[in-house]
Amino acid sequence: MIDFGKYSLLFSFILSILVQTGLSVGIKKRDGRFVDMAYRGVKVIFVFLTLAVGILIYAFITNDFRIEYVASYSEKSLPVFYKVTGLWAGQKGSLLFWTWLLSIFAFITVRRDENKPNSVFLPYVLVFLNLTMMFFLVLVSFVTPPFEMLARFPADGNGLNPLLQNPGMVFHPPTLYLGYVGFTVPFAFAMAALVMGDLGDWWIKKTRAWTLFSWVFLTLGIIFGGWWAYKELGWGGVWGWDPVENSSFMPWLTATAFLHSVIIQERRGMLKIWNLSLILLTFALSIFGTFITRSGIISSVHAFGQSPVGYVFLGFLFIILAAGIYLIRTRYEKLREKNPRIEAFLCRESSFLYNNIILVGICFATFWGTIFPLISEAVKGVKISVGPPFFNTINSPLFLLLLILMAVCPLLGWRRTSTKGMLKNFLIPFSVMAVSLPLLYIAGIREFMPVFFFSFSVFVIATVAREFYLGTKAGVKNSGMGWMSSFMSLVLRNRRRYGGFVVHVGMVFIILGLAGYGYYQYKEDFNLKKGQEITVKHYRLKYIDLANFEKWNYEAVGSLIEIYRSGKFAGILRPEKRFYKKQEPSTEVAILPSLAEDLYLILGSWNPDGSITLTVVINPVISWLWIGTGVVLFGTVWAVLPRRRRDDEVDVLEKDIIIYLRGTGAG
Amino acid sequence: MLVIFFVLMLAFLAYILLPLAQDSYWPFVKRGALAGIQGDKKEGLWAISDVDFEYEMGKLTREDYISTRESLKKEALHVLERERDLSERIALKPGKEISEGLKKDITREVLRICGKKLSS
Repeated sequence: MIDFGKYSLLFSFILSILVQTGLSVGIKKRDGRFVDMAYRGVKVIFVFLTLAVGILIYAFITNDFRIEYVASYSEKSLPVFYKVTGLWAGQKGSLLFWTWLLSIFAFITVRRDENKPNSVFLPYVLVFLNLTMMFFLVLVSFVTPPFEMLARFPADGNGLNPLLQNPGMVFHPPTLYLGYVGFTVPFAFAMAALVMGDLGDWWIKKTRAWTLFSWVFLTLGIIFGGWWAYKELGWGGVWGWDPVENSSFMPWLTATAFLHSVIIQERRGMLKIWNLSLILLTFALSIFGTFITRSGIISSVHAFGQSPVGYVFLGFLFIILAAGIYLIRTRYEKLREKNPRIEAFLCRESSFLYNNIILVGICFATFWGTIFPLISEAVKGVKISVGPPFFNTINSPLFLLLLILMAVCPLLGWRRTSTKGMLKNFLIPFSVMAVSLPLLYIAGIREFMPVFFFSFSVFVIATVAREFYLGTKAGVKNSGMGWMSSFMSLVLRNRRRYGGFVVHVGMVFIILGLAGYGYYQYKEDFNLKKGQEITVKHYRLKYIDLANFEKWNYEAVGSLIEIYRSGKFAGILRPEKRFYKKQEPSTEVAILPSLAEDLYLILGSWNPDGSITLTVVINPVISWLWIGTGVVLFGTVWAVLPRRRRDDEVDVLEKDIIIYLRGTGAG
Repeated sequence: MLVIFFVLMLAFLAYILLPLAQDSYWPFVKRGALAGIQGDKKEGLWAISDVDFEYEMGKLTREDYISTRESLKKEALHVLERERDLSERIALKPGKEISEGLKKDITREVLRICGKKLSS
């Protein structure tokens, strides 16, 4: 069975060479037979990689410790759930998983367009997809083979890192990989457009769903990572500006910029070079993230990912950037043709451009802070790390500007907006924000930055609510529908626009959650004896007892704490320390969540007399971070869902468009 | 077992190489010169319908609406003229070179945004 896995990978690698040959010959000789051969090759690679992944998962489930990778990341007593996730627990499996996802995406890309006569772009797209796949197949076949056998295999495995034995870690890597790998598809389309010299917005339209899909999974991956850090690392926060966290955040920033700037290209034919550069940068940053994670060149909480393979990624990164920049340079003049200018300082287009500048600015600041230890080492010979204060100081004002733009952008018209028009549009959202200010003051939010964050969050929500209201009202007025029918018609017909607004609301919730705990987190350490009570803000905590217990692969010591909120019993929490049979001990926090705040307890140490040290953390509104993620997911799915086609629309002729142009509106 | 696996590999290899047994062909239709102009036309129509929609929503003043729509309309009509010129130059009727499907796509898109049947 193990040999099946090995040979599947090797065969897939050989097939990828065959695919590349077929594509090259097919394109050069304009021979569809070779292209068809390549299409078939892509499908068969998917079949064999699926087989390899299945075999590795089977090896985990059946405790096949002859395989070095399985022995390193599993043990007999590990629950099946975590055994399956062993696939991405280490480097070898992660890279196989990555390659497999890429083969799925290549398969889907082929299936979607292989039978369409106008899909002349497909062979070119596959050239780039397959080249990327070849790189990963070289890694999994020769550099980091997941089916490597041990000369003398153990009776039991080493077990899974306790930090990875958490549901957050079950979802965090796959979602992140789906995001990273997903961006390969728009990248391949962009490069194909450059090679073909067909530089319109067709590649943006073809990859719209891919881009949104990848973006939302990258978002989920980042948030799941934060959730895991919150539950598992035991320091009370979700984001610590760790280099590996940053490396997933950077492609997210450029991808978010890309999602916005493509709208300008679609509507106005602007920013072509910028969009190509953004997708190139997004893909390159995905690879850079893997380099940071896998090289261990910068110290990180993800130290379990270190290996020399990181430098292979660095080489690949340079090739991607060099090829992308070269292609953009060769098409530079053509890309600059028919490039309309932005007409006004304040209009929808300019606000999208400012949004892009800020997002890329945050990305650059994050990149600089992340690689600063390397720069300092090169210049001064000492690795100097910049911590969260650097990132917070630089990025918080930029995030605030981004929030302001999120509020203002929908209020601006395309091309130009007069002062009168602007005043009209700003009046209601601004008034709502003004009303929120005294309420924030009463709620105790009085510092400069939090006031801005919270008040502009209100502004964004008011703007979005107004958009929905005005759109519905226009429907009621024009078509005589009821309010509910008009609302449904509006959101069904304009999914991209209104799905996008829902995503904005989700982002506001996420920002609220981050700002709430970032500015108003409360943290205090206590020494407690059995039976002792303490009061922390409106909580009363009573330390009941210390308990030992045993589970499948660990023993634990937990302290039982009774919680009373505003005088009422709210539950019993049990923060604990776990001692794994084969791994380092880990701290398990206990959380009492609510919409207003989380009570977060960390067990520090304990003494023979039963006394303990306990850290009590109160994180205001942090639950909104998770709620916001759900809202973002909903909005993205809404925006990306395919539209229902109406037959009566299809029969309208071009002359109708001319009638429309000449006959309606102000003309 | 390994023999079965190798037989499977050979079968898939045969499946991949099978197209080479056919005569040579090129299945793709290249996007014509008109397709680019068609894209510009679509952009123009999108922009007009956006402005119409925002005016209907009450987000634009009448003055902003009239001036913006007028300039957009001029651009769109210019694109239509370019399309007609190019079609005549290459001795084709308008829309001949582009596929019916693409034309319908554009029309459908316009209708989707406008939410009403366009013909008078």
